[in-house]
Amino acid sequence: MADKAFANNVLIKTIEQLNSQQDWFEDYSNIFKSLFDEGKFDNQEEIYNAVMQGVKEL
Amino acid sequence: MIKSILIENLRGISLKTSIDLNNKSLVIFGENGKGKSSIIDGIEYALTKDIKYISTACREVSLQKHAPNIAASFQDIKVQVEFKDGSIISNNQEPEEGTLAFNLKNSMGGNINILRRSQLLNAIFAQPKERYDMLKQFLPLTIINEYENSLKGTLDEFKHNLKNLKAEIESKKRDVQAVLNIKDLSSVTVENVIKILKNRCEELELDELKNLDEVPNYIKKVENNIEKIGNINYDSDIRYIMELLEEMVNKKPPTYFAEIIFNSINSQLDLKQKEKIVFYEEFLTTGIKWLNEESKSICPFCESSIDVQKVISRVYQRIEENSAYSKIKKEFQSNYNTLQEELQHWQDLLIKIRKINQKINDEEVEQLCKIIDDNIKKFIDLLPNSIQDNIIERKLPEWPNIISENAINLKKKYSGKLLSGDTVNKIKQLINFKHTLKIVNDSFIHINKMTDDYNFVNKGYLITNQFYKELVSQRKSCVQDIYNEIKEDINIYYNKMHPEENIGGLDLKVKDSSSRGSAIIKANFYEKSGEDPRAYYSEAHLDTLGLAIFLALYKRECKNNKELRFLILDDVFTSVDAAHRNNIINLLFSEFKEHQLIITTHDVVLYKEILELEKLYGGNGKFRNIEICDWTKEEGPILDDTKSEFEKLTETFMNHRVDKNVLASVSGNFLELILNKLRYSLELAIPARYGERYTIADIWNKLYSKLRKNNEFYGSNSNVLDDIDRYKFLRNTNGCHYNEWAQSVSKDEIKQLTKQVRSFYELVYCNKCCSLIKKINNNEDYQCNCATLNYKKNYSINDQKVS
Repeated sequence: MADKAFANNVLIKTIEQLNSQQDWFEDYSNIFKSLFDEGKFDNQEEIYNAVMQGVKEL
Repeated sequence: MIKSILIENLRGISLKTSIDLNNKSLVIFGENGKGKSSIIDGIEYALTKDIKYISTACREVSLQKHAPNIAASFQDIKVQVEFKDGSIISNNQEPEEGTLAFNLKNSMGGNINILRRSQLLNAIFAQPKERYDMLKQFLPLTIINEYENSLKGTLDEFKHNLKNLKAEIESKKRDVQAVLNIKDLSSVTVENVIKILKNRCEELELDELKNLDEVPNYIKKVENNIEKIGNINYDSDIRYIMELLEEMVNKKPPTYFAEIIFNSINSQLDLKQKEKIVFYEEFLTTGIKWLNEESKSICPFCESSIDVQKVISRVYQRIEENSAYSKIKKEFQSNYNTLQEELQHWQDLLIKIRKINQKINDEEVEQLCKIIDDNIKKFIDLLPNSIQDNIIERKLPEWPNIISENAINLKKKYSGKLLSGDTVNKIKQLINFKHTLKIVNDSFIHINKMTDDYNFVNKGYLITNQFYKELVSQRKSCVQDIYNEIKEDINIYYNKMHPEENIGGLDLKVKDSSSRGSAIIKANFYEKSGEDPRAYYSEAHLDTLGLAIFLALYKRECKNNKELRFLILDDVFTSVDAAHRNNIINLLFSEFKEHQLIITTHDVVLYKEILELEKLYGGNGKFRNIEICDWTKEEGPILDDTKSEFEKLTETFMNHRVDKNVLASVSGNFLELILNKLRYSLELAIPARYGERYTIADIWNKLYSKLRKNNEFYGSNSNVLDDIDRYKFLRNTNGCHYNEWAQSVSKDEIKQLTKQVRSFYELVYCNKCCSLIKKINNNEDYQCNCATLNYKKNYSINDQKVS
């Protein structure tokens, strides 16, 4: 539980920081947020496919 | 809070070892190698399904192989920790949802609750990166680390794919480089390529090529151009057939080789001689066969016994001596092979000519082939198969001259149809150029596609990399927040362990440059500040520094998860002197008074100090003490929790200033402890009670009745038993609650109870083997493990005791 809360906190701060940068789109953040929310954060293949799908759609 | 622990077949523990803590803190004393750490291993294994110092030791050491007791297998391990609410966490049973065991399993997984001495020194002496890894297990980093590792792995996959795409692009560029003869790979650009192709077009007097998009259509243009100039394929075919005809004309006819065979045989032997030699050899060869096949041992002519191997060897010698014939035979074979090869060559030549004639379709060529075919067959049919064949009387077939004449005529016919040398050169240059254009076109189609793919994957890589870097940076920042959060506690704890020493000012920092993570420790040492403590601190100071950090992390975690309040410290005070140890124990007992502590030590002085301090922090109501008397391979650690309690009782008894009610309480508690143990060892049948909470009365009456029936026990010690029976009520009247009436009980009466309880202990507990008496047979005879204490039920005064 503590691990999940800690990871969530780190993720929120990461996204906040990135979203404030000009070369970054919120849609990019959503890719990584979704992966975390869906519990796919430990699956390399899922991350790769999600990022490539995101790049394709954007 | 842990209620009980059960361990079986793990590490140094063989037989079932159970410890009933009843939610109290526990101090375990035992010399080195007596199984203290095995008990902690059992708790760790039950909580985390892991024993870290084993699973991370080295490749050769594993849980599967080395966690079980040496006499057991991995499947035999049984570890179980029961919590206050009755829920259980064990190695083979999942806890029920909503219980303490379940909540613990889903929290830090027990890592934060256990500290071993080896971890202390590792944490301090390690490099910042390794130290971070050590501390990591006490931080809530599991999930974020999994995410980081997966992202790192994804980045590696991106890099790998980008590398492959780059290599494919370069490979295609190399094809273009080779076909256009460009010096550097970097010069293979669209501009350079189009420039080179334009020059080639100019050289070949072709229309201008404007850009690479035009190339597919331009290839068709070049093809049309080639067709207009001449049919180069037809020209190649007739050039090839002319080469084959030339070979035919120059080739020696098979007649030449057949005559060599004929001459060599007939010039050297006449027919009669030949027949004789052949017969002689056949005779000898048949003889060898006969000797071998029939395993003869008697000569067929003289019927005397023979040595078969020797005879065979002599016969072979004879055949060899018949050399004239052997020489001719070898010669024949060689010439015969040459003729065969020649005929095969002619046949191969025919195949080649017929194949090319399929394209040019000339009947004259086919007629020539038929003539050659028929004549080859004649030779094959008439050839001698062996020297035995009589070829002398046969006529050799002829090889007709028409073959050579027709070949010469055909050659003349085709020479008039050849394209000129300049035309052929021009066509070849154009064909070459067409080939070049095709390679350039195909390569650039690939290069363009793969460059698009590369850019696409690279975008994914850049996004993931940016996210990963920021995530690492934020994780480090959050870890630093935790370090900052615990900084105050670390310093408070450290100052309590080392009061009035001019050291401290401890700080933990995450190193910025490390991507994985690192923990730098800074400390003050007299006038020096912000120093690495390893440079100035003693081993004990470093040990306690590690302990202070661990305790601060543990406390922080407990704030978030109140159910985690149990702390296990395995031999962590070894290097610390008596004064500092006192400080540490005081710190633990005061700062963590609401927590359950499990402390192990091999130091008897420290153990006594802890027992002393226990009195200040709740005494028996709060602590349990267990001594490990011995360890055997067959049983494991032999536990005893009565000796230290007995010492406490004795001390209280000897203290003349002690309040009579306190004395009653301590005596009652001790009697209750002994009775609970005798209940099992003497196998008393007591009606079950919820939670096994038995009072003195529950057990005493049954025990008293049994011991009275044991002649040897009761005969010599009736006064002890009878006095306890008389005064046992004092435990409740004076030892438990305030009772007006009980104040009339005199201290002497209570002292009498204490005295007899102590005597009773000495009667049932053997100091030699550290065991209580137990039932040894159905006759209700009792004795200790080593039989020093021995009480026979039917003992009579006339029996002699053997000491």
